[in-house]
Order: sequence, then structure tokens, then C-alpha cells
Amino acid sequence: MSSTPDTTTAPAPRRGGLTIADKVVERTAGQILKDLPGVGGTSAGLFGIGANSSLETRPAVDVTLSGRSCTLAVDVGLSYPTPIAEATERVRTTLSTEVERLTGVTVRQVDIAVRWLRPAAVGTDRGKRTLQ
Amino acid sequence: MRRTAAAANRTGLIIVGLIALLLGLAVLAIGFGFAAAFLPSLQADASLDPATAVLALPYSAVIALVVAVVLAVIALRWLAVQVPRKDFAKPFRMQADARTGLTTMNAEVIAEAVADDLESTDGVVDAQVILRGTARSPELLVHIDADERADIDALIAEVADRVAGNASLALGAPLRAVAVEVGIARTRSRRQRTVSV
Repeated sequence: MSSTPDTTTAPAPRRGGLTIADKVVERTAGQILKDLPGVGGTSAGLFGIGANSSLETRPAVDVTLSGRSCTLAVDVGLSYPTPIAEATERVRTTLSTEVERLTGVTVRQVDIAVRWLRPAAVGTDRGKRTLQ
Repeated sequence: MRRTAAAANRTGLIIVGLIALLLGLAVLAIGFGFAAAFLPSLQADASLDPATAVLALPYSAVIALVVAVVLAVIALRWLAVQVPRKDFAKPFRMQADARTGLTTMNAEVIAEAVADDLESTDGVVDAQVILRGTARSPELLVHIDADERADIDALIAEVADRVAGNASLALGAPLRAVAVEVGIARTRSRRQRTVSV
């Protein structure tokens, strides 16, 4: 007989709590967006100088936590041409499902601001064109 | 492409014209003695001393100053309205259900994408695009600077088919109107400096 207490069956409060910072939810949501095809973001430059928009950049996410749920506000860029309403609805559904699955935080609302649209082949350099 | 203040000018000129017309009629009525039938003091040869006395009152200058400031504000506002403006559509709301969140996009975003799409077309040197209307009923105004050796008919067909089709696909609604203005660029574009093969 071992004298060590059986921690696996102890009630949850006695095993300790789990605190998730809003930054964690932000980063998680940002990474989920980055992995979505045809969705991009804008990297922050120094005072806006050198800001770079591309489909390879992680979109900016702002999280407002309230209890065990949150609302997300995301700034995204999308590939063009693509049906914007359908693409943003896919972003919303994926974020709601995946953020909740990965963090346990329920997503109540996802506000999406579409900041730019760009052909996937153009990339980030507006002065450069690609011969296809 | 840009909207000017034609309606504001018409309204302003009608108001100024009506005021001038009424003042002119009043002066004519006084001069010909018709006004004396209603107000005996309004004779053509009546002394202007009472009016002069009013202007000599201490607060007359203040009233004149206030009136001048009001007129100056109206004049400056009218002048500001004369600046031609692009008059983009209001930000589009594109969400299916607002309870799960809002989707917003400025009209400039789609206009810029359409301009990029146009500039990737053969024969187009530069393009400006304005999107008006609503998300369900958008209107596209396009100005193209085409190369002088470009096939203009083919270019317009390309805009009508591919470019307008792409915009319609992105917005998820048929375009209510597409206006195309074509200019000829005499100088060659120097914007493209690299090519990927």
C-alpha cells in the first residue's frame, strides 16, 4: 500500500486551476487564421512604416474575455477574387470551433474587418508583377 | 469619376436669387410708391434719418459683426462643397447573421483590388476605380489609362467580362452598373521593373 495520495481521482479544485491569458487566445486565433488558405494579415511596422500585408502574415486578433467566453475582432486580408461573404463566414466558423477546441474558451462573436484583397500570386510587393 | 457640387450650387443660387429678387421688388415697390399703400412711412422721398439712427445705436456694430460671421461661415461651407469628391459607398456589412459577429469592408478595399486586377491586364497602364451603391446593389466606375497601341475594344470586353465578373464574384452580388472611361497614356508605364518566369 502506497501512502501517496491519488491525485488523478481528486476533485478538480484540489488539483489546481488553469488560467489562460487573453494573449494566448489571441495568438491561438491568429495562428488558426494564418493556417487558413487565402487569408492573410498585416505586420506592424515602426509607427506604420514598413508595414507589410500578405497572405503569409498572421492576421491581427483582438480578444475581449468575459467569464469563460470571449469575443474576437480580427483584421484580415483575403485573396482576390473570392466570395467575401462566404470566405469570412468560413473564417468565423473555423475560429469559433477551433479556439474553443484548443483553449476551452467559448467564442460568442467574431467581428471581421476585411482590410485588403489581393490576388494570391501578387504577393506583397505592389510594384512587382508576376508573369504567369 | 468625381462628384461635384452641382445640386448644392443650384440650391444656393436659387436661395440667393430669391433673396435678391425680393429685395429688388421691395426697392421697386418703394420707388414707385406702391409700398406706401401698406406702410405710409415707406415713401420714395422719405427721410432716411430713422434708419441712420438705428445704425448709430451702440449694438448695431455687434449685430453687423454677427451677421458678417454667419455669412462668412455659409460662404466657406459653400466653398468647401465645391471640392470634387470621389464619394465612395459607405462601408459594406456582409455578415449572414449579426448575432455571430459583424463583417465590414470599406468600399476602397474592393476598388483597390479591382484596380490591381485592371492593371494586370494587357494594355492597361493605370487604373482608378470607385465603388458606389450598396453591397447588394454595387456600381463600378472605372477609369483606365490604356497604352496607345492597345486594342480598346478587347480591353473594354475584358473589363466587362473578367474584371467586372471578378468584382461581382467577390461581392456576391451582380453589379447594377459598370461605367468605363478610357484615356490614352502617351508615356509608357515604368511601374513594372521585375518579371517572374
